[in-house]
Amino acid sequence: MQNLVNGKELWKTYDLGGVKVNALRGLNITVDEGEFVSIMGPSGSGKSTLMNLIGCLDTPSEGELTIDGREISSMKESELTKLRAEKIGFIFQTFNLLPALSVRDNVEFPMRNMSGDKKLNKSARRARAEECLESVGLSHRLNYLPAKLSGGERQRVAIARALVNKPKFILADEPTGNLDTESTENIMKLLHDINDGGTTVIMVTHDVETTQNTRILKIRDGVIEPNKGD
Amino acid sequence: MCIIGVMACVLLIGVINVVMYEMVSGLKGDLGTVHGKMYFEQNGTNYPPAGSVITESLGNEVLNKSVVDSQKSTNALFTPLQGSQTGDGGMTMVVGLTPGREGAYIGNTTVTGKSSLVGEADNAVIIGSETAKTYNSTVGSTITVNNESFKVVGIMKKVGSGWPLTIDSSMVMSLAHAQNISDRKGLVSTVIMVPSNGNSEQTVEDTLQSAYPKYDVYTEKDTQKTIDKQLKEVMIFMNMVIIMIFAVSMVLIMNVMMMSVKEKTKDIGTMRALGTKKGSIMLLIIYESLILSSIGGIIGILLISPVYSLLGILMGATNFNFVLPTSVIIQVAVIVLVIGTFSGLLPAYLANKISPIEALRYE
Repeated sequence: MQNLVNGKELWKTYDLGGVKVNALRGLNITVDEGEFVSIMGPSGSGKSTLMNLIGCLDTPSEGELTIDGREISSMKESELTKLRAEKIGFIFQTFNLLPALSVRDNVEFPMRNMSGDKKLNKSARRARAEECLESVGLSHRLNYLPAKLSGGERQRVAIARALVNKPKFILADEPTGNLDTESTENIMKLLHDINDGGTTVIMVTHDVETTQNTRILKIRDGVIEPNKGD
Repeated sequence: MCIIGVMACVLLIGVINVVMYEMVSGLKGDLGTVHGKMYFEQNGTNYPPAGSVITESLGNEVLNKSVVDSQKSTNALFTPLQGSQTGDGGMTMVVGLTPGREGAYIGNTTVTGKSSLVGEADNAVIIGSETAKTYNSTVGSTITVNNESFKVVGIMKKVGSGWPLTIDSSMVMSLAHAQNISDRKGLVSTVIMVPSNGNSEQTVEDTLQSAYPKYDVYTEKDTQKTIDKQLKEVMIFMNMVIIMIFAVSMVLIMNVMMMSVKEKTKDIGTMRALGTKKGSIMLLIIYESLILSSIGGIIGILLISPVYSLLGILMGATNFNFVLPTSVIIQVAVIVLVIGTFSGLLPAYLANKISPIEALRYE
């Protein structure tokens, strides 16, 4: 299986008012295509920093990080933006739907960021958005505004949005952190279905129950803890 | 709130533009009535030459000069009509001319009724549009001012602003009758001259200036200078007011857009995370700013005409039939577009500076 994410000796250092803080300290990580990986760790362990790097929202201070075979450390911001649009589907804990747009327009939105051959016309975008919403069971909510939906429904819209550009992997930051038990189960089933369909899922979570049937990576003090038995 | 503010600013700018437009087009109309004419008058006087006094015999002497076309020129007496009162607080200007030479003053102005006083009664008059309005006159009616009656035989179409040049506010009558009612027998104010064939205005001016050094020859150039002088100060003031209003509008929208960007920090972060380019975010902010200013601008433009008409009626105008000039609409629309674009630039720049990581954390 091919490496989708490959991080070697990743360091991320922040300068907080003259004080250097190492959020990652030579972290190594590999995620293969088709995997479902859960990243767990206490607050301040470096989870968010790692997510930002894997999500191409930031670049490492030191080390090599390749996403789908492309080294991102030396990429320009515009290249990172393009990579995010084409390769990564984001799911956030607080859903982050655009409040002024309808459910369908929210899902359609990432397709507007595509360029070249991948850019679709309006009707094709609408059709694809509706297809994705149907796959998460929300085809009856196309014209609703996000404010009119429940938490579980909002997260399903966010999942549809993450899938719409057919990304290489989905990056989910505490996707069930704001949901009740029933919605959590539904969302996790959906994510597993997506993973079964061949899309890699990388999830940050605090909830051990959501990590069943996933490869768990525990992060502490800026490095991945070795698995017992390694 | 922002839309109402922009609307009020556009309305103010529009009304000021309309006032300036009316002033300029009015004065251009007045200037047109002076076109190609020259006024021989007493030194130090201006136009209209009501303050100039020369003898009729001197006037005749000037008319007989070979450089002057005596058939198209005339002695003229300009004098305010005692006891008259126009809508703007001024007075009707009596213009006494030799019957048959009315064209020297009226020029190509369209006249309803008769455009000549030849064969008419002594008290026959051709009046300007403002004078007709002041006395509510029609052709054939009689105007009585200070126990003097005037029979209206013609009404001139509006040509200018009526200020400070007088064709619209004038009452043209025979020279003899004008001298009679103003008690100025044997006196005139000016000689309205047209150069004879083959002579230029400059030749006429040079010839008469050397023959009569104590008198002035007032030409279209002098009229233009008078108009320019009167317009310049007003225009400077009006433009300063427009710039102030323009700046207020910009600050208003910019402020609203800054707040909007702050409120949308998280959305901007989400969009950036989903792969929206910085340029697209900038365009989005500028687009929103343009939409806000355009809505305010369109409402403002629609209100200019009724507000200007209302102001006119409140200031005493009757039968106010104002049509908003296209040039003013274009000017105001351009101002609105400039306000919308430029007031969105700084907020758009600041939005671009937001880090997606920080923005996603923003609550």
